[in-house]
Amino acid sequence: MISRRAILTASLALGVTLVATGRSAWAEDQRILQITSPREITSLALADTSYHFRRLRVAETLVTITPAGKLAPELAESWSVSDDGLVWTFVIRSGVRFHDGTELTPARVRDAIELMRKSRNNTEMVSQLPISSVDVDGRAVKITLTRPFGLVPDFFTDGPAIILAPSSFAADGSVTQIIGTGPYRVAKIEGKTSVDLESFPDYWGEPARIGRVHFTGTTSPDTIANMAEAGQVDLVLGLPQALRDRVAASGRVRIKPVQTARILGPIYNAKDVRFDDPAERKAVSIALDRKGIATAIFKNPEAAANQLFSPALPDWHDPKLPPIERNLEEAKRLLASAGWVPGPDGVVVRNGMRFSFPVFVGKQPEMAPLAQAIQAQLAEVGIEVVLEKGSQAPVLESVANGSFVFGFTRRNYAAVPDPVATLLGDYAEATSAQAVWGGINYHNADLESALQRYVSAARDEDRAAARDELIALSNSDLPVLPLVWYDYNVSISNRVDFDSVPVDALEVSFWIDRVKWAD
Amino acid sequence: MRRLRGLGAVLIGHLIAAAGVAFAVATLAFVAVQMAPGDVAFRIAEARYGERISLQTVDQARAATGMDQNVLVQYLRWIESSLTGQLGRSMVSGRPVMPEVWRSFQTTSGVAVAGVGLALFMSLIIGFAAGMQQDRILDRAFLFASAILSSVPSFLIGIALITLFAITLRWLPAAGNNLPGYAILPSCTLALALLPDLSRVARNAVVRTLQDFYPTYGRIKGQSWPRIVFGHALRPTLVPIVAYFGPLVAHTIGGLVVIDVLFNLDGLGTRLIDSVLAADIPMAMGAGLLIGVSVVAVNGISDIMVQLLDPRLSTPRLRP
Repeated sequence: MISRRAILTASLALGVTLVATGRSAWAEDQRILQITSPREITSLALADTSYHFRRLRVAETLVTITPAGKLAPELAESWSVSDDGLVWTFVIRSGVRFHDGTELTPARVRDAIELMRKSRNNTEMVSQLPISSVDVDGRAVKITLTRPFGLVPDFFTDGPAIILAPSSFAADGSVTQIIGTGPYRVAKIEGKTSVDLESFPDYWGEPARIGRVHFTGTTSPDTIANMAEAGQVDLVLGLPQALRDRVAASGRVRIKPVQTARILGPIYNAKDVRFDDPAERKAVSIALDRKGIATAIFKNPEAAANQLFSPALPDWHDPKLPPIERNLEEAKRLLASAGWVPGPDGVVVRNGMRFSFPVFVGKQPEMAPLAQAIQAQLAEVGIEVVLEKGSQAPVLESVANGSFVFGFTRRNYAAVPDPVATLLGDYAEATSAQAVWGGINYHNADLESALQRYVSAARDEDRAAARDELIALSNSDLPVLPLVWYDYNVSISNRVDFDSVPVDALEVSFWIDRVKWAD
Repeated sequence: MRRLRGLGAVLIGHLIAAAGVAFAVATLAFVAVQMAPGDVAFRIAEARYGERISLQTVDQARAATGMDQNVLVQYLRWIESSLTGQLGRSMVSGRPVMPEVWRSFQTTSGVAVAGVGLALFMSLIIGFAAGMQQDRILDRAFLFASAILSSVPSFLIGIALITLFAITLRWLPAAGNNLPGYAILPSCTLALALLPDLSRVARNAVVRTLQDFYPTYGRIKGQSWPRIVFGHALRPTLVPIVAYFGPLVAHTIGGLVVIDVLFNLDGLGTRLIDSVLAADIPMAMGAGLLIGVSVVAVNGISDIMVQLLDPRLSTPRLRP
């Protein structure tokens, strides 16, 4: 028989436990910096989460980028190039230790570069460098190229170019743990959502200001907003733009936004009969209301894009370029000039073919309203857009099977500081067949030539001339129709010193080692 | 002795069922992955590389995961490895499946046990309070509230609890599993989602029990209501509630998926859904296997508890 006393005692114990554990949550963990971002630790593969562990300041590269967007020494204390542009010398910093206590040596750097070269992944930059050999020379590592290439230091800022200790790798070369050289070391990784960090006492540079950090990977935008509003996290790094106002309205956090080099815009298949004529592309472009979309969906009229390169890339952004204004009459005229005439249901037709195509809509919070807005705006000029749910995989699949017509890209032109690295992957002859996110089947011989001249230029003037040509060609051809530039938003709790949080427009690092408590 | 033999037979029966159900659920997970639209290599590459997916990474994913092989070969390979106790490696993370699904199982079982326990405890209190006041105002109020609560989806319950206890009062974490007390809101969400059905079962059981002869006999003997309730009525009331645990577990799994997503828990529900969407066959089958075993285990425990609560059920009936 269950006694009354037992039931009452159990109830009381349950209640007290629930309340006590809940209250102590805040008391015990107040001094751990709680951070979150919309990224999970899906694997430890270099092509996958190396970017993330660099952002968390666990792993470092030879060259880094400052929050101001400039190249800066990291594991290499300096670099230089020979007069013929063929030999790059990186002097490796002394006194650097990995988190397992072993020393960073030039030989280790050479082995790491050799590993990067073997990658067959076209999203990894170092493997695309024209390297013929890598040698150790005292404290330096010498990289010999087959042809001059001016972006070698930029390519070594890429995420998968992090230098890890040999103990990070299994015998088959796969990464089993992240043993880096950064100001934080990994204390524990639990599943794909939880990483505990602690400051590394033997760090070669300025030590981290906060000793312990907990990272929570959260892919649900609403959950991120809830955590910020509840004051549960100190920093939300990459707060979705669509939720910025909601979180700011809670009054418990402050938001630091910065415009990034990432563009959101439509891409198209330039060989498809609906987009093979520049008049058709221009008609679609001027049928879109950029200002309206930027204001209504992205809550920032300044986000309306008139060119590929945002003001985050000052050397590449053309401030004199006028905004792309919406002009429905001109769009209809252009379509008519390309042979498209209104059909019985209002959709324009040519030779019996309707101007209609499917678009996959991703799960990011801004994508559904954006796609619906574009659907409504293009309908006004007689173009039918059929919305289908799907992220990047079905887009890529449709490219592979030749059925792709129109889609969206969220292209970051600052994967490394110089956007030419991204342009090379998208439009250089050798790689464009495999490229997707910069437009499909777009080729321009002048653009390809300007890219080659830019990377092989020995003089700054030659490089500047090639850059001007690249800017002009990309802004006239619009292989990606610029729609909005993304903001990068950091939500900062009152527990953290607001001014101590650097916000990185190029999305290279969270710089959490520089963050201070408010008190 | 006869009773122990009966319990042993129940246990063996459930162990055999567990093996069958586990493989059936794992096979269903495999079929679900194959049936989902699109080329599985693209889904794996997207899950693995996110926005850095490219045609080259798709080819790599296809070759590295053996997706270029025949579907039957893939299935038989998994069966072979699981028979040796190995569930293989995730096609997305490359990590062994077993520790991953086990960690998710621990998260899920923690929330489930707390949620179901809380629901059971509250439903007994409510069930007794309403059942003992049958057709009076308290009973009618309970039935009305129960009908309302059962029509509210569990994610709305969760959002309401987050808004009140995490965002407004800031007593508890809104999501994640690193802060102490993280399981309280998910468990309460689950408990509130289960409460209407469970408390109705409890209330009906109390009504039936009180209509039996022994409460009346107890009153004739001059026993107090608490003595009648806790001394005599509680045990027979528990039998239908415990027997209801089987369907309850199936209900709980659906609710746990929603709770995992809402509270950002790396639980078994999201593990199964994510892996099916990502075409991560070993992970989907591993998660399906563990869910199948859990369902059968809870059903078995429920059967054994019913027999312990009511020994008549494990005693062979006398033939006329």
